[in-house]
Amino acid sequence: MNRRALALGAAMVLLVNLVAVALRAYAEAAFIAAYGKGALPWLLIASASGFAIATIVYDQITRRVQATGADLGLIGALLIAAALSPKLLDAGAPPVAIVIALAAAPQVVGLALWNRVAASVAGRDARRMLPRAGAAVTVGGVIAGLGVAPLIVRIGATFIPYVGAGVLAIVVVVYLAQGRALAAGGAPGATAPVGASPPPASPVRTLLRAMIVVAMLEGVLATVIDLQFLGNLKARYSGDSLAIALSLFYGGTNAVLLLLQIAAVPRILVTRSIPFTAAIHPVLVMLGYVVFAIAPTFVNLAGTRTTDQVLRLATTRTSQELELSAVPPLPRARWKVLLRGVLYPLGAGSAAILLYLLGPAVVEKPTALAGAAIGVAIVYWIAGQVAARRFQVALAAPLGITGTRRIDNRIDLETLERWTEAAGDPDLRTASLARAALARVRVDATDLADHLTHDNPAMRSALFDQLARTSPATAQSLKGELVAAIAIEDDDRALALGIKALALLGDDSGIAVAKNRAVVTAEVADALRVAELALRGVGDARAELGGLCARDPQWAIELARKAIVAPDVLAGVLAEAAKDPDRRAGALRVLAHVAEGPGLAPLADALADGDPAAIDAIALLDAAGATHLAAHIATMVPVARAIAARALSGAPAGIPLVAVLLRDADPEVAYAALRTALAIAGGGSALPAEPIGLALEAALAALTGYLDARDRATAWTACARHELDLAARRCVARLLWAAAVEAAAGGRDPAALTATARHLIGGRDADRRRALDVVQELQAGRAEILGVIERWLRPAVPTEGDAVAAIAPHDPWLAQVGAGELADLEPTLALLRKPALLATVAGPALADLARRARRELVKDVVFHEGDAGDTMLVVARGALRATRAAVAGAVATTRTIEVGGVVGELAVLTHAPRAATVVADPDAEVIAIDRATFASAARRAPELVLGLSATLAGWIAPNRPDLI
Amino acid sequence: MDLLERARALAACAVFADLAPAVLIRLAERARVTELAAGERRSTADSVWVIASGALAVASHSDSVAQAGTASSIRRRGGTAEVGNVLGLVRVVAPTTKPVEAIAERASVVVGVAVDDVRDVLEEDPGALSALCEALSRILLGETA
Repeated sequence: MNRRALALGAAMVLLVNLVAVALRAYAEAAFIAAYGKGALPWLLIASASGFAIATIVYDQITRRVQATGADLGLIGALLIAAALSPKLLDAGAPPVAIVIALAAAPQVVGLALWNRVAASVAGRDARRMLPRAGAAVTVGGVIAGLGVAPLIVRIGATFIPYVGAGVLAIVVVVYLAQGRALAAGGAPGATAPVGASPPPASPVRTLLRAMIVVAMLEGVLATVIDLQFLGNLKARYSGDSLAIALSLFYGGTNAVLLLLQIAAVPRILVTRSIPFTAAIHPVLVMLGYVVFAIAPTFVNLAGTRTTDQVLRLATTRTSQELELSAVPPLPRARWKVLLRGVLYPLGAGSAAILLYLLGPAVVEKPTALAGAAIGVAIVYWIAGQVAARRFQVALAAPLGITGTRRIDNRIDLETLERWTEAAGDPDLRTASLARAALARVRVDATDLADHLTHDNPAMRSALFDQLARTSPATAQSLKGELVAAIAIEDDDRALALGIKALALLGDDSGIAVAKNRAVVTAEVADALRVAELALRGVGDARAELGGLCARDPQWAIELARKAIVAPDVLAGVLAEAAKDPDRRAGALRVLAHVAEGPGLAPLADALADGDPAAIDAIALLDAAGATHLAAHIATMVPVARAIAARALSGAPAGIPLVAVLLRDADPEVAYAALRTALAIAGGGSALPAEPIGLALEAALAALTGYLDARDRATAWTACARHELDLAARRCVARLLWAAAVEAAAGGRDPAALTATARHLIGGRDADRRRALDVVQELQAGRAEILGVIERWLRPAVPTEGDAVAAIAPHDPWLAQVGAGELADLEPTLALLRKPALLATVAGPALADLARRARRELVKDVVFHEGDAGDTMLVVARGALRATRAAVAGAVATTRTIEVGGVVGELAVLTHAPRAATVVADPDAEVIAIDRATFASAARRAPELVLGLSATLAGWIAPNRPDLI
Repeated sequence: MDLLERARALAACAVFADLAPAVLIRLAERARVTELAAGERRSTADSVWVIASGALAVASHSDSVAQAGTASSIRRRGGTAEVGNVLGLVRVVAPTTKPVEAIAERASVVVGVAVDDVRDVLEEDPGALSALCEALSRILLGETA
């Protein structure tokens, strides 16, 4: 924000509006006195067309000469016209010409100069400061309106144009000073930030089309109200008293406007979305006219007109100003002038012509005219909402944020049948995709009933399997059909699955069917045995449980839940099974659903180690299992809890567990849980409001804590301050994710907020201002969120206080760093932050990596091309040179890796041989990170893998256009 | 193309080969299918495009040929993306990579997923991220070999 230019600009527009209001009152009074009440429509037509013509002329001039020259020329012309107008009137010049010169031209000057004010400010500063600059304009109107009336009484109306000419001379001086201020301090509102993404043309075009309609409707509405008001006014006053009444009305209107601009509008603009702001004017005008229609008095009409005049400037014009911020700077200035100076008057003029054609009778039917005005206001309100929504799209488009989308997970019967068949496809990939698709979609349970006796046994098997996996209530509703289907089942696999589905419902009719068969396959025999154990308590529970861990973990879970063995026995069986590679995955899955206390240890250990089987066990939790584990997860170490949180990203059934992890005291666990909550919400599943609200409050408190610490951390080391900045950045994402989950719970698409979070924390500085504006539009009414993010974007304000105390409740690790407790680790941490690969990794994970990594002195050849390797090296001192031997068609290449550079990244991911020979400078030192260390860190901070992917992608891109 | 067909189109890409079925389904939920006539263009500025049928010629976005060139002139500059190839994936993990323009050499069907949506799914699921990283390393090693 260029404060000096803004202040001078405000002074300039104040003076111009003072002149405009005074000259308008003078010109309109002269016109009405000369032509009478019957010519009122002509006054409006003359005023509107004069404004439009003057604007078009100004627009054409600015396309040929610099705006400064055009502005000064325009002010000079107005000054001369004002100074000469009394003599011209005396000489018999037509008052209509005076109206065009003195009522229309000052408005164009006002528009032109307003662009200069808007040039000095941008983003949320514009939302905050432009209404205040608008208040300066209003002050000019108040001074003119309230000051001109006594002057007319004392020395007559003729005095006004001379005063106006004198003030315009002062405006020229202020204009030149403001131009110098803009040149010296910059014009953020008139230039795109360096590096900012240009807005795509399409959303901008659709926005401008909507704004054109809104501007014209605004003019139509204003004209209808003006005509009715002026007609009533003329009936009551005449001569100088009419001019006094007009100037008092303008003065009073501006006084109300001033109050709003100072007290309310900036707050509305920085806390509410544009659709809300844009609706204020039409809705209140509608209400005003409803009151007038019920009681058609002059006071009610004056109130309605005041509402229109005040809100048009206070809310509609500021909405228009902000909507234009989505347009690139050059066309923005031009369209602002055209919308206000051509299209608004075009609407006003068209309405005036129509009213003139309808004749004076229109004014004599106030209720009918009020009805017409309400109709126009409704259309105007709808058009305003369309424009406001298009503004939101255009604002977000440069950030790659597209419109909202809805994922519809419902499928019809035909699709169900097709996918169910595909689930039995011999191609395993197709079958697994079909099963995953079926698990994701919703099917009306009653639809399944018709297919339980399907001709295709594979289809029947899949359906029985689906029933065994579906909720007990759904399965129970189909029990009758299932019993009937199993009674006539002749396929062994389908029968085995049917027995299981019935057994899970507590029905043993499947057992009888199986026993009546002459020959029983192993699969049916297995199902029969487990069903008898589950329903009749017959059989070896330990053996069956152990076997089911390999064969059918889901049934093992159900058996375990029936408590057919004592808890300690169950824990022993599962612990034993977890050691057997064939049964480990199933055992961990059962543990996740039913284990508690020490029995959970195998699962907790496996999670901490990042065992894929343990991660699957969490991802496959059912709702009851998630509720059970939620009560016991606190016994696991934080890294295990964080991995569990991430594992639930595709598992809506895990919501009860996510809800608990959202409240986790460890910030990294809460961070992971929030990301998962967002994924679940994005898939269309609703999370309970309470944990979301708590997560939002916790994130808000944490970010406030980080910012308080930032202000107080002047004595911290550079490394500690850098870690603080990174932690605050992650917390911004956490806060916006919480807001996005909350939005999803409210039925809105969370994707836009997620994308905005990404741009705010990882985007270019140039795009952040726009991202914050997008947040405002998406988070209307959440002033505390907007306020804390805005504070984060501003530089720290050094303050006295205990930074460690500010952050300790929210981030104990960072508090340790700030307190100097990790001073011995800081040099390594600082070095590891240098490569892009590790630059944004969560602090605790990087600290863990720093502790596990080895610092080594190296010299001569570190490794040869083709050697086996499992370590990547970060250069801590000196330099390394990597050379690749010449291969067919290419020459040998050498690159030097300086301090902070990395070599050997592929080794921590694959078992590929070294791709280059690396030689060290004599005094070189490296930080060696082996595969196990990297894997451990990556489990805590998956963004490490993202960084590695980016590195790989950078290498691949030049040679693989099909992957670019 | 229904959800399963879109998922199968994604699964046909070597670079997505290691992604879990559930992840592919989540990507497919966010995907949209577009039929391109010969000569129609698509940019990787905000989307990842999987070629389900046909072929697209690729050019650097900054090249003037991307705006004015024909499929054959573009092919001389860049490469051709065919069934099983994916355009725009590098921008998912390395957002500062310049986008490219691609032009349909013949009638083609592409499955598009917004870059942000792909990134969301990868960030949500570390397993998916690891799988993608390993696929990229395989591609790189295959080239090196």
